[in-house]
Amino acid sequence: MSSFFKPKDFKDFNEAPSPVQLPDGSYEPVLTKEDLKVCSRRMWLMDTVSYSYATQNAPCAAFAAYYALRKIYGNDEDAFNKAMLNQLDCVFNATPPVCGLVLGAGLAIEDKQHEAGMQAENDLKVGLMGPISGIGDVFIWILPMTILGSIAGYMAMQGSPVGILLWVALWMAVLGWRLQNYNQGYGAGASVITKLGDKVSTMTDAASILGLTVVGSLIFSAISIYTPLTFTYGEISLALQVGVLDQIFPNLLAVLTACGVYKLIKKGVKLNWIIFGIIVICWACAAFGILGVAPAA
Amino acid sequence: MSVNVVQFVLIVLLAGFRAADQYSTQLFPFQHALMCWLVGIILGDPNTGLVVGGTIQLMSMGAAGLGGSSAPDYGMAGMVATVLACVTGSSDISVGLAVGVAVAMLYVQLDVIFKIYNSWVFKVIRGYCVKREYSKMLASFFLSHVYLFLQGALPMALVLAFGQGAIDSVLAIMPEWFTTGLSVAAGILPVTGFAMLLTFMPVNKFYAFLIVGYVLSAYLGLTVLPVALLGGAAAVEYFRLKSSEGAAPAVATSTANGGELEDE
Repeated sequence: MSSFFKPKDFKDFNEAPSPVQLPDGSYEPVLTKEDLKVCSRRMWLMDTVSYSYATQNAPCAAFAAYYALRKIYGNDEDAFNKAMLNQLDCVFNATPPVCGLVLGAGLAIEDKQHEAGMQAENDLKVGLMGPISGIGDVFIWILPMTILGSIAGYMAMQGSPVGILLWVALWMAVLGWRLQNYNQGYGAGASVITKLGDKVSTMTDAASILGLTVVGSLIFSAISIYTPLTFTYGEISLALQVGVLDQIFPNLLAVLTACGVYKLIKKGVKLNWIIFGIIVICWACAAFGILGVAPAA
Repeated sequence: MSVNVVQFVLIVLLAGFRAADQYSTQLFPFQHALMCWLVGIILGDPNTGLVVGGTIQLMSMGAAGLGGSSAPDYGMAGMVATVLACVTGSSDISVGLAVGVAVAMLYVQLDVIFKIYNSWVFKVIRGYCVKREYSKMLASFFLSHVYLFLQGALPMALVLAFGQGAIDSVLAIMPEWFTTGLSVAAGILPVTGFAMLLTFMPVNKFYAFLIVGYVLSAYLGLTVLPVALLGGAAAVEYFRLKSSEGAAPAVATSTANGGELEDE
């Protein structure tokens, strides 16, 4: 396990070689693919676990880069210490599975420039953490979770674990990629993100189309509201739900509730208050027989 | 049914692992349905686990803690709800769900304390770095993992230890409107997840696809998987059309240039 999170050829300060300076003042890059994989794995071990209001996820990035920095600075302990503190103090927060792309690009600069590159590295990290998270949050969290999560949730409600297993399998594929993604960041540097730049909004839009179609379907099928109210005129009785509301639109009450809650969230009402409110309203409606549990079909 | 020692230990370990995994290794992040199913399997009632987990999963959609914000912890809610539903042995899962959601609302307050605790952990790490004690520095990072494990495991141990008796006596005094109301609420509450999700999405631009999804389910009776496939097809076509729209002028200019070169 230790070689999983630590390079096999790790050397302590007294055994490590000194960094080789080139004639133009920069240094000979020393990081190998294996070193960068170790960074990715160490980042996976951390993700956002060190999140604090001070430097956000900076300690996670520092933990991930530890052995890479040790190798870059070789036997120069003073320079290493400075680099480590720089990592700890540079505010960083990005979607964990994709942040290796930014941090790997940063290490590429530091590997070549050493101390002279630290400012550029910090600027790159702070400058790209927003865009990379914007992309990462949508493509790693919101959309896959919406689609896979709703399929998993909906199938589970019907007693089938297939959707859950599908989600686990697909997430493991993402994990496999991310356990080496410092390499893509290191190799392509910032150019990856600028190259993708103009297509990102189209991709986000296309993915939103998929997401909205699924949500439209779920508003009908996964929300159940039933009113047992029945109008009686002499011998004729008319069930409000089956006879009136569902004739206008199927599951009309669910659609209206979804619109209402959406409006409330848009207005900035806290989610916890909305949940609490729904429970209280349900109690009141149940007490007066306005809402009830649908009879089994 | 009652919970035996092995089940008790397994569920507490699972709750601790889930809490730590959510923030660190993210092997199964936000996969609440999976966790509830596992709790159900441990307690010998996988089906209840699936039903509770599915409901919680749909409620939680879109309520992930993104960008460092604190959201209700639906994973905890689901696991507590599954335990209560299995232990009371009733087919009605709504009471378990309501208690679970209440626990999740309280639990999220612990999240803020965790982020403050991390400020202290950061001071420790930085202190060791300045003193150049690197092995101690690396070890200190795991103080955060330990805290998270306990944050998940301890409340679950309390629920398991005192839950059953407490729930039984509460159930005995509950009036009918109270339990019916909870059942009704359990049917409606998934709406909060969808609504929250919609606020992240470009609804104004693409509301038409909400209608498409609704019609596919409501009038054509399709389940969510075929609807997702059709939505995916629409997404692919949209991307292709938009991409060629952007690329078309470029292609045109390049052929025009090629033509000019040939003429010369």
